[in-house]
Amino acid sequence: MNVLLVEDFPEVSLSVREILSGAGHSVEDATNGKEALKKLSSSSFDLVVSDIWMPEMDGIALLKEIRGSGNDMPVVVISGGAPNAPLTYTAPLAPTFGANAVIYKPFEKEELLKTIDAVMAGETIAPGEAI
Amino acid sequence: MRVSGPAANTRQVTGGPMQAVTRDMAIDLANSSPAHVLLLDVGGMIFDVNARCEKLLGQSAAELRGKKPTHVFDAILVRVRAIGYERARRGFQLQHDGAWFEAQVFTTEPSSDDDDGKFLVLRATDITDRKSAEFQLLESEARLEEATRIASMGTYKLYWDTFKVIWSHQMYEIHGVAPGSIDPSAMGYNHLILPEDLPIVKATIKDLVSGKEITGTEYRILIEGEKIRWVRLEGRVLFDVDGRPYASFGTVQDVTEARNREETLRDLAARNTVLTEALQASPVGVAVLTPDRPNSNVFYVNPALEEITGFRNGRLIGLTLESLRGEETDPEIFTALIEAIQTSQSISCELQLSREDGSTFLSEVELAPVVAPGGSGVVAHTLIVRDVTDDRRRTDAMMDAQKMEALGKLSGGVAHEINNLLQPIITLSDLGREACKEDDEKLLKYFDVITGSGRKAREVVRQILTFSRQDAPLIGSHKVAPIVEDAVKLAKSGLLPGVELKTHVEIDEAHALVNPTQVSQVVINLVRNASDAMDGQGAISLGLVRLSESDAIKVHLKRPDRGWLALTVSDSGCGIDDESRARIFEPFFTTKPVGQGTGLGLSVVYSIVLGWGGAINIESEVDMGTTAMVYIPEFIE
Repeated sequence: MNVLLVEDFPEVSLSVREILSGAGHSVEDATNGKEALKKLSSSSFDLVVSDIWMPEMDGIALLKEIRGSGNDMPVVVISGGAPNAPLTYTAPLAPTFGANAVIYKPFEKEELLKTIDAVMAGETIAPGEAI
Repeated sequence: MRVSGPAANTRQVTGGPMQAVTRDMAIDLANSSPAHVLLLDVGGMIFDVNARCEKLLGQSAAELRGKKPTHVFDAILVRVRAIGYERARRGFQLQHDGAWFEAQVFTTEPSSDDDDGKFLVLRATDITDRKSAEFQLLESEARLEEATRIASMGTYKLYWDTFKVIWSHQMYEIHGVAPGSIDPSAMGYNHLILPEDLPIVKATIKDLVSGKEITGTEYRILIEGEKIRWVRLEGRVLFDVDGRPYASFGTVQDVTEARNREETLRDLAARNTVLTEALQASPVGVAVLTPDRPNSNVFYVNPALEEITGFRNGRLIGLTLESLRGEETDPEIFTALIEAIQTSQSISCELQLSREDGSTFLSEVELAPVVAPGGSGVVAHTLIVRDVTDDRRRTDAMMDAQKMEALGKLSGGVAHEINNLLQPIITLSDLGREACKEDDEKLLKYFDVITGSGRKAREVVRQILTFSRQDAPLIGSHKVAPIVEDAVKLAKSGLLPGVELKTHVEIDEAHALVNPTQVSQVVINLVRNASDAMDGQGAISLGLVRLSESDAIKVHLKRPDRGWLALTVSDSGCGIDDESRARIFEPFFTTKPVGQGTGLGLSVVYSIVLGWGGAINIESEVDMGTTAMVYIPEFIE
């Protein structure tokens, strides 16, 4: 699977890349929404894994762009917030903007992979919902 | 007195004040008179004296004839010249040589042509004794007048035959009327008595005139038609010389002040009782200490303080503060207390005190000296003691919660950073572990530790973020059962395989004012604790029921009459000992082995439940199990 990883925090980016490539996916990265859009228009991806808090264009804006142009490709949001602080971060809002899943950093390898599997199978998972 | 001449010539005395008296008549009178009688001739010389007079003057009539009158008679003549014969004829009193005399002077008329003519008859009766009695009476009357004036007492006299009433000057004054302005006879003072009291007065007077002695009848009179004065009536019967009652005599005294004083005293007594009752009923512990130095001790203790200290049934009386000192009592603060007593200072402080049974409690103590009115020094010390153990625990928890909240706010952005930083720690150590050789124990261990540490750090951050409420958690009326059931599903997913979770959710419809996420947090935390306590094997039971009022009372819930829901989570795990149980809600306090559990779980639960207006209680027995009971106020629309 071709995965577009949108994350500005280098260590997180590295970690996610390692998980995904270890599972046999190919990964391209962008460090903000703007970059991501550029890459989306030039290449084809099966999945977007995106952070929310990024400079220039954040994950929600990116989502709006993607869905706004009629693209319904799967998007998994990775958030630096926490499941138990619902109103502190915008992560819980992600599904309203069309995200298929929200998981919280630092997540386990299994959690990311299972979430991706579920999303690719067509499920939508609410933030904080157990897989 | 020797008589010469025919007695037949005496003219008869006819009635009337201006009778003419002849010489013979005069002589007759003189002989029979008990008075001293002296006859003077027209020349002003003694003509004759009676026997009494001879005795008084010490000479016989024969020796006195032709001499000038002396002694009292001289004085009488002087007086006669002053007042005139008309006046002298009616009689008068005069003093002579320390004695009092009643004197009378009249002239005789010739009875016939051959009568020698006029004589001046001087009569003098010694009335010294009578005068003295009169004087004494006057004097005692004056004294009585003065005494009654001083005592604000008026006197009255009621004559039974005529019902004439005489009032003393003071009597008028007491009634606020000018002397003589009213006629006290025939109840002429009726209008001065307060109408409600008139019947009593009338009845009293009736008793008086029927011969009874009256003491202490009190009634009200109206001064100038408006001011009320209390008076006290006393009276007794007067008897005449034959022992017959003829009048009532008595006093009326202004007792307004005395009555006011009585009322004040009664008021004071009532107030005293009320104050004592207030102290007895007060939920705050109060004691009064003696002013002795150095051994100030308890001489009054109220029930609340006996309850607080355990020294019931007056056992605290006579004891000094030393009996409340325990091992945990801060010696410096205690010394300060003792010193405050010695130096009669006020002091308020917080310190651990010890009960009779040795148990300790945190107290707020206030001590103050009591000074007698008039400033005659310290007569006592008041000691107020409040048991604030629970309050402190709650405030501490709240303070901690607030600190955590502040921390949470600060750490909102920091948490985000840390979460990001934790991702590589967890992921790369996880992947590294996978990549390293199976027999490389050292490396394996290192990676395990890194991963484990990273996961714990994640938990800490998540717990801290609970306190970060940039908006207040949305609290609304929610059906509790469905939220709990959802939370149970979530909780189940985190359980170890050997742990079973049984639920018993009784109430479908009950609502409560809560935030659903918080409910989940509570359930998850409690279930996690239960699971950890059982070390991977056992059954947890979770229940959600509605409490009856009697159950609510049993668990000391405030307002047991309102609806309460109880969420209980029980396990059969290792239990919690009493010492730990006391600290179980402290943030970062944990009974779990080092490295497991952050110790934040129950403090989070505690602050959430507090926010709902509910309560939480943990019951536990070591090696038997633990039950956590969360009480949530039911919201009834």
